[in-house]
Amino acid sequence: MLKSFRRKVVFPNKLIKRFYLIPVLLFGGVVFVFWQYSQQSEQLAIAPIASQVTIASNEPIQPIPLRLELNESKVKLGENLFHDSRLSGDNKSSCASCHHLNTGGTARLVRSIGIRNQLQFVNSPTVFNSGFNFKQFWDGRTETLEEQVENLLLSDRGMGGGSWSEVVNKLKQSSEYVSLFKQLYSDEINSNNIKDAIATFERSLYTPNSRFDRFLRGNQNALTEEEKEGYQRFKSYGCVSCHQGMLLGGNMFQSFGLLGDYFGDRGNVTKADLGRFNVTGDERDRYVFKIPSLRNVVLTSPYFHDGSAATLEEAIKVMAKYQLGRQLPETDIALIIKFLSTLTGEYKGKPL
Amino acid sequence: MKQVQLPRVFMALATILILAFLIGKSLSIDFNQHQRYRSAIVEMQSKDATFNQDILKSRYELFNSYDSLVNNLAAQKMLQKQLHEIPNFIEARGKKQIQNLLATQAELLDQKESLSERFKSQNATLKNSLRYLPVLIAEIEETATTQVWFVPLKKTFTNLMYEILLYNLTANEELKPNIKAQIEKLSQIKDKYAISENKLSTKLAISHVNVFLINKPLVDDLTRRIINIFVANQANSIKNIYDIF
Repeated sequence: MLKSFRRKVVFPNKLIKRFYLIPVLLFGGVVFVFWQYSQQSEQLAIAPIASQVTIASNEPIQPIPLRLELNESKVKLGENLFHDSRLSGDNKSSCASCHHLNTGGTARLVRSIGIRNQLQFVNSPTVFNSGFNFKQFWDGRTETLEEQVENLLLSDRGMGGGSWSEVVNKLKQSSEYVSLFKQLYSDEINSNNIKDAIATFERSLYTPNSRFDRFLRGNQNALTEEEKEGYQRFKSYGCVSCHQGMLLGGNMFQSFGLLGDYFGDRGNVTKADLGRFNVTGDERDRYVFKIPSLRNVVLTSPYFHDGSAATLEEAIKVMAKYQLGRQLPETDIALIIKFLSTLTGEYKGKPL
Repeated sequence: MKQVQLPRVFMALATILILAFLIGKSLSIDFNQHQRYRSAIVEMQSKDATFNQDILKSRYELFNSYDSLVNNLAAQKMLQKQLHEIPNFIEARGKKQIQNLLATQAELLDQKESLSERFKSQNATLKNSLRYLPVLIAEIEETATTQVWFVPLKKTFTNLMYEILLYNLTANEELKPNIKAQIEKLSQIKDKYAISENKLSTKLAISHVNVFLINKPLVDDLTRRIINIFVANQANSIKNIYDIF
């Protein structure tokens, strides 16, 4: 009788107790779920303390990274496209026509020559380190390299490619391109992928390890005393106010003629001389241009958007006159040129 | 005993059902997606705060280059694109609200970028003159040590630099007349001793002082306007709507 009593009382009690375990376990599960949810990192909107220590942290100029991670196959494809004249309307000019890699990434002309021998409106800037520019073109009309590629490729005066469908159709005639695009892009040859490949190649055109960069990284012997003096002049005269950052330029706009009327003195003002005004329509942007990079500057003559300065010496004199309002002593110009010559970097491990 | 146990059983059953419903609800959330989205919002707030800090550092010469401003804006634009990929588990009403907030955030970001471009140009012009003035003054003084007007000239230049540096660090427009008074004294010394422009390039010094006087209030105004564009607050609103839905 006792056994049967136990069976009736103990067994059902055990079952009910186990039954109660289920909601406890489920509750535990819910608590766990919400605990996970609460583990989202909630940061206050205050700026984190910068933890990156740069070697040249007190200098207004930073070294170019020694290495960038890029898709090498895309770089190779982009390099082929960069040198391919089929991208132009008349199949005679390529990107390299105005941006020779052997001549500092420029054409070394006052103004480059585009499709059907049409003179461009401005001097072609260097393609080296262009991936680091905050905007492209002298007037900063495009944000990215991809947009810059499209702008020039389809421009009537530039490469006059006509339309993307024409360019794509031409490339599709090449079994090599069809194969290369197929390997890299699931949707094969189209405008976005062409732009992506060329832009990836252009990003690979960085020139680290100049003597000045080695100096910034701590090698005091990388520069001679005169070159160091030139750097001091560059800073004290105020050149570094605009020519700062990793590219010594390429990260801001500025008016050409702060303390003198450059365009009034030069004359023959063209639409291209209006600079950033052509993009924004804002009167304050008349004669405002993207500050060019001074990396490899000894290789990229002639200078300024109008290519008017044939030599570095002329360029420095013009800058001093119209941005500083004065004449620099010849000795100081020579020292600054010595400094600027230390900005020539390496491409694929070899000095430019 | 049976009757005592019955309510307890019903309570346990109800609890199980409620908990099962809650767990089911939580399982519909893709935690990876949720983690990524929420992190992007928080990162946006952090970037905006850092940007404001960097603007102030650039204004007061704690930063010597504008690369950090450029990189920060580029990062915010990327985050803005990421935030447009709203997780699927957010219902349509919530998505619509978030999209509206994102549109406003994009406008604020554009405004901030536009103002920061002007800030960089004018701050650089200001710095150009501030850096160059001491060099110019030192050069003038070097050539003038033997001149009879050297002592009054040096005193005037010293006072001028003092007033300029003080004015540069404050928002006090009442210091401007002090600078103009020193410029007036320079001109008086020049006239009194009949000093040629070759010997004492007061015109150049005055040009740079005027550049500084014009640009300093403009740069201060741009600084104030930039840091008062609250992209971080907008991101916070997005976070609140996201959390609700």
